[in-house]
Amino acid sequence: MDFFKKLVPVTKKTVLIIDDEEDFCHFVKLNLEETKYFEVLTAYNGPDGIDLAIRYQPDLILLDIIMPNMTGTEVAEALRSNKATKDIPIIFLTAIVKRGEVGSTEYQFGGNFFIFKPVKLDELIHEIGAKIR
Amino acid sequence: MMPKISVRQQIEKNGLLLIAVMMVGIYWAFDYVSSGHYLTRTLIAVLVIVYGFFIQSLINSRKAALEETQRTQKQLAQSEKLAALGAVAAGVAHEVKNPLAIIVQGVEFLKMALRDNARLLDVTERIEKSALRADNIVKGLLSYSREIALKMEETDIEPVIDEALTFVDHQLRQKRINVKKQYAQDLPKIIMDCDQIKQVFTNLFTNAIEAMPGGGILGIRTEQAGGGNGQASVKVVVSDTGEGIPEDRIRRIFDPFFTTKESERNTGLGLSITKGIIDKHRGTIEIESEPGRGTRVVIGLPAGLV
Repeated sequence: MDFFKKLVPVTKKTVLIIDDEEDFCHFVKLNLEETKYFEVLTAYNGPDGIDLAIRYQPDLILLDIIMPNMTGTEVAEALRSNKATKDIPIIFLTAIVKRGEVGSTEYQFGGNFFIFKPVKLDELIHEIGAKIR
Repeated sequence: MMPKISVRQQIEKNGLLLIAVMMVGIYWAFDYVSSGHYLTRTLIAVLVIVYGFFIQSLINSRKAALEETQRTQKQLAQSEKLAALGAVAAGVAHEVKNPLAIIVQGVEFLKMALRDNARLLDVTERIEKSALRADNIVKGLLSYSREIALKMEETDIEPVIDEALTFVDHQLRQKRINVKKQYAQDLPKIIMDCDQIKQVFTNLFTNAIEAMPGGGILGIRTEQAGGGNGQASVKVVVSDTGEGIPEDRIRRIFDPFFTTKESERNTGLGLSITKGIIDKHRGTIEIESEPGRGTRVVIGLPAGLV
């Protein structure tokens, strides 16, 4: 395994996706990992996502807003109030709003980024890159 | 400038006053024969005219109030329809955008995997384009039913029209419809939300295509026009040689859920959304149609800042 790691030109960044759409998580994982720049963890609900974030300390979290039981904003608040995860950048994924609406909604807090579904891969990578950098 | 009023409208508006004046005339003629007192004649004449004037004003104000109520009721019905549409659109948007996001991500992976196979790559790109188009339709519904800020940029109109044409390219070929473009030179740039204006033309082209099941000509003409306030504007005329729309239906053509088409696929929202987008750009949209000969849609977009 170490042999393969040596082939990768850069240090991989870890991205955690928290989204109840399992297929979406699956495809984003495939796409990001295909670039060889990312290692991707997936969680299909808020509590599992928080556990993974505390355990693996990802470089960035992609967080869906509308999820059953625990919404993305609640997950974000939980992550912000935990010492271990408070500095991890979060990008919200949303299927309900357009860019123009964000300024006046509850979603804008803590300087978080937003990505609007459906999103193309180059835009996703661009946003992740901007936030990690 | 005073608005022109027809003779019929004059009679409707001042009918009682005219009757009063006529009565005075008859009275004077009658009195002339019977030679009554001058003061009595004048007083009665004035009273009759004042009475006619008073009654006529009363009727006119009642009529205006009734028209205002009818207009308000119509607007209320329209806003109720929009509110219902807004609620449906918001729910549908979330449910549709998630599967679209999955399709786009899946296609992105296929594009990477098939990068050496031009034929299959072309297929995946078409699928992606369609998914993004469906997303734009959902956004259109949302922007129509809710106030969403427009993403404005200064751009030429022709590339936007051409891109909308690519969306209907397949249908054009399938129905053997020829496109006749007449683009004017040196048109001013328009500040607009390209996605939304693209949707306007996609809607218009789709309507035109559906009106020409047996083939025909889709005409697209652009020209510069001066706005009423001296501001330059761009006029785009989209015409077809299809079946046309009966006059009584044109009046309701922009109402939400109103459709002239029999197909179950039609929601009756296309032109309503189109008008909403044009209104937000402070533009104009007019439809002229002649049953059996075709329809012309004239769009005017101001060239300045919105």
